[in-house]
Amino acid sequence: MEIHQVLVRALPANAVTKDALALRPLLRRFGPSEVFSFHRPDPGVPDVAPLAAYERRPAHPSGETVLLLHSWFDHAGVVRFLEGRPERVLLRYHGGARPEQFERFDPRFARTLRAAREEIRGLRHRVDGVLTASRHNADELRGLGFERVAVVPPVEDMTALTAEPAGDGGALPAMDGPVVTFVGRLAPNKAHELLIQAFHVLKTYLCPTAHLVLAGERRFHAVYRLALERYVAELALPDVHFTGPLTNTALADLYRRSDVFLCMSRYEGFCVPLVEAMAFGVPVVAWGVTAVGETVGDAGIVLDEPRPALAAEAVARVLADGALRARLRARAEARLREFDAAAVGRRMVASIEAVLG
Amino acid sequence: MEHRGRRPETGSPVEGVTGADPILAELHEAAGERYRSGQYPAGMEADLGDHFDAVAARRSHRQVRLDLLLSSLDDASRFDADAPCEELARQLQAHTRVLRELLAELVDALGAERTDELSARVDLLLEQVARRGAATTPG
Repeated sequence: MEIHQVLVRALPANAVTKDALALRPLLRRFGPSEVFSFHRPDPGVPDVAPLAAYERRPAHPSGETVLLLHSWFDHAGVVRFLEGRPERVLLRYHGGARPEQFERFDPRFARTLRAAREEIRGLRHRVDGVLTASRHNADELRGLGFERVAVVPPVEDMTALTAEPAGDGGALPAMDGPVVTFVGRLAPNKAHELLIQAFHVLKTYLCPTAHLVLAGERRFHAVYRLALERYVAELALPDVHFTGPLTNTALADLYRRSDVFLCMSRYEGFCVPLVEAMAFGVPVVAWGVTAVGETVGDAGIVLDEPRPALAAEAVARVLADGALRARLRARAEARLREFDAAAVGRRMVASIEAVLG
Repeated sequence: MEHRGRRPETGSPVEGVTGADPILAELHEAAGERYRSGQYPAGMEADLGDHFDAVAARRSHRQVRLDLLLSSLDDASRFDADAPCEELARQLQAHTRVLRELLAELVDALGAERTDELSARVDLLLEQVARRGAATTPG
């Protein structure tokens, strides 16, 4: 049997692309396995072929081929590609942000998300099984009528990131106080305005020397980005740093420099940065909606409300309480064992065998 | 008054959390105490949220026009592959027209955005100078 993966887009520093690349060696246990991308692969992503090359691959003697499709924000082209094809299909579902969260900033993207949801729903009779990164996503897909849904977290080898050598620090601002960090692209579902509000309370009333680092892609959702920048300016809030996307070296530097990882996202399908923060021993404070509470487990402070004052209080407590930090780090170490790449890899292989029957 | 409630932001219930973390109650209590003691102004969180909503609502005429042009470009990008050559040429011309209009608007917007941002920064600086002046004026 050969299992090939199909991405809609292959981009560097992208969670979906990284998931596909991490899965490839596991899928090669079944037979030949390559990664193809519907849109031209970004030159920064190695060893991903355009989907047009799929037909030119050498035929496998078993004749049994499975396509593993990774979900994205739009699938129309890939759905067309699948029409009339004989291969069995697996869906790796990465979750889908809610259109209503984008409506006021990016109505076009909200429409795209609505269409993507319908495209996914339309696949329910075409796919043989689904692999989701969280129980939250699995429940969502079961609600759309999918069967044979297995939950397997991303196969992330955290040791590669934690082993990154120290950089020259040039990608990060000079910071001389406690550092509160969030990593994720600037998008309304990540609720950066709630992070800024929590930081405003922290900085104004509880910890005047604190810094907030917001690392992540900022090319998309320009209206939201501008609103965030204006908001910070109007609050006259110093020490908020938008870094843009970071290289692995700079990202590792940031985690090493961070005192707290704060996540106020309204929607996350898994949220790999939460696990990255744990791997660097950075205590996590997060609003526990969608898959966030599930990913953090008991290894962080999981807030039950997205209140800025509550988040600021939690961050201030972590900064001030060494025993709490030690307790959270110990729990994070235990939690990380559940995301160990080798163990997750074995679960992934077993789940693929199970959903394919 | 502790924190004046805004529209509830729930999304979905808190998941994956087994049993309430005892520290949560302490954190809620501590935040409440800061309101009660007057350290936090009443309605602080609601005001922060309202402020962001106001900033987000300030979408310029230009941004609305850019959205409309992008939407037109989406429509014009739906080429009918089975159409005869003349029809395809017409579709391509329409597509190019919308694309040109969008690019022209974008070039204008880039220049204007800088002016807007510059003007906002100057306003902010003047405000800060005025505030500082008031704080240091005797009596």
